[in-house]
Amino acid sequence: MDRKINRTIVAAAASVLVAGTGQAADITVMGYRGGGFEENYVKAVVEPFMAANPDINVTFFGVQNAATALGQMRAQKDNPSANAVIYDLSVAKIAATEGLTETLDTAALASYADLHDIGKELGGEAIPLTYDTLSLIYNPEAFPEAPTSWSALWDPVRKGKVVVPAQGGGDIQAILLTIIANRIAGQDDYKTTIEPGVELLATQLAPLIQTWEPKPDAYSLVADGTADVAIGYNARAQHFFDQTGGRVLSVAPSEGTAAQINVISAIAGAPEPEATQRFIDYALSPEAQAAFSEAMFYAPTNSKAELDEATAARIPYMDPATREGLIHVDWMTIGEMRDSILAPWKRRIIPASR
Amino acid sequence: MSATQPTVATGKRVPTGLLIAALLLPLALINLVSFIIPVVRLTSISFIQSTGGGVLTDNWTLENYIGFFTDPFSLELIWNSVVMSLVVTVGTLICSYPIALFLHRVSPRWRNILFVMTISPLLVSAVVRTYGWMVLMGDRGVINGLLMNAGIIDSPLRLVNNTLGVYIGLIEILIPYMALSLIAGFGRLERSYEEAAASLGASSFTRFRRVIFPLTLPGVALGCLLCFVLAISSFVTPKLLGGGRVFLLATEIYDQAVIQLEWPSAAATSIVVLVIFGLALAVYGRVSRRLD
Repeated sequence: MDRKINRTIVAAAASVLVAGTGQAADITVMGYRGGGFEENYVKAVVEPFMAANPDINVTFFGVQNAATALGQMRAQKDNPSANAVIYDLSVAKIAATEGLTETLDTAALASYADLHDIGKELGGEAIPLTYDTLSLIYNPEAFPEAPTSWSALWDPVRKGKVVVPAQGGGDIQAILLTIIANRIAGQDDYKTTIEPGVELLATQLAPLIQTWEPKPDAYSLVADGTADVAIGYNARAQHFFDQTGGRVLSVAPSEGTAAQINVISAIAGAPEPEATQRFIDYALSPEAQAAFSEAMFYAPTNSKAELDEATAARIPYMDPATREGLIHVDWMTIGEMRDSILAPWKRRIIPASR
Repeated sequence: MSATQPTVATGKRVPTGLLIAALLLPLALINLVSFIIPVVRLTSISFIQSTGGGVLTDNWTLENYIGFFTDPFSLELIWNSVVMSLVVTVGTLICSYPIALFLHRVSPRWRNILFVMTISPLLVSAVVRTYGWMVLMGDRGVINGLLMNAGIIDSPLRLVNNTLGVYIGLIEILIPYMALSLIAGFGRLERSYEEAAASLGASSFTRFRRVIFPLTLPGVALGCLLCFVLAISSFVTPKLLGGGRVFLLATEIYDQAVIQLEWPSAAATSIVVLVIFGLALAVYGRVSRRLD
């Protein structure tokens, strides 16, 4: 009996010792909180990663948007509490310029060579993680026939039922809509001038707008019938489609749309660089990319990720014709042009809706 | 033992200056950590040069202030914010004054119950109350629903997502603050003064204009200062009820910091707002001295 007890104590002590020397690494990944991103990313990527790597513990830290992530990185520059960050490519450009990101050796990342070229401009400082597209979001009850053109936004019969999120004078969605409107108004190169696009938005779109600041978000207002049509991202629209029983639909209009690229960066000066790199490598792998696409309808950036047909059909980016017709946006220079593209929103476009 | 030389239990004298310093120390420390140091840091950020897209550099510059004061849009923001705050302050005063006067005159038995009812909205967060207004005044809200069902209007009235919505929301939120300030400043108002005026033939309007209102001016000044400062720094209500159409200094600071990522510009705008607060305090100081 005594011997049995002794054996139990020794076994318990040994297991404690083994666990103690295991030295699990704790890393934090900062990323989007809303619209189902956090919940789906944790289920599709973080939890399978931890199951496969029991020595690494990953915490997902949700933030409101890419700008908030940048704010956190700036504030914690000397002592970062997050190890990796998922955010928009244009914001990543600012972070990289400010020295807030670590340059990863892309040759050491198993999946890097398999990634598509779009969004690779920053090399190891920000690696493309997801592709999404700007979409026309509409309520099927308000549109017996699905809209096929961006002009549905400035159809006078929709007066007071159009929502364009342009919080605080607009961000990436407003920039993309300006570029798209500019093309529709006849100017293909936004670097030359955005005047035709601004004029179109100020004279035709603005008078019809219900709100530029949808609460809680444009998808919810379309789903509950407060608005008929809005702009938004396809991935979130698909998430809301599932959540609301099909009361929100998303379409990539025939004039073409533009891609939004999320990237992942290792944060400069953060501890556990090896564990962070292992997580990033996994996040870029075909299985993690496919799992997240199936959960959240972002297009995978890994060319080897295979999606089932039903998922691919709900991602415009997976359609070769849509991909072919994507409006090119140079995200490396958009940062410098950001002010000049957004300035007319507060000064001309939004005031025209008062 | 003199009044200016208090003693502690041991009987040992503590210098008055030291006692005052000891009493003020906790508050001074809290102020230093939570206000003075952040403001100094904010001021230093406002002089940092940023390049395109909000990238911060190591250079110092006055550009953020020059840019602010030479941009007509910034001047429009100051104008919008000051006008909105004044309108909200006057609107809140008009709504709160009768309530405060009634509470001052009502019998003590009822006063406490009614007083609690007046300030009870403070128990609910301003954010929640603002969402409440969105539900009530939205295109598909209760008010528009009633008016449309009654056949009074054909299409919904635009009550939110504009300046009107912000005015209504802010006035409702600020009424308890104004009412509290007014009641606190009604100490000099005595029934006998009104009776004396009435006995001399003053009409009720004249009694209000010549006796009641002048005696309550300290409370009015305090309430107006409080509401003006709260209105000009309000952020959530204009964001939620303005529909993205109402541009004010407080919302601009958020936009510059979080949407445009221009921290130095946001810091410079914050300092300008701080200066406006200082001016409002100076005006209050002068007014209250004259009233005394």
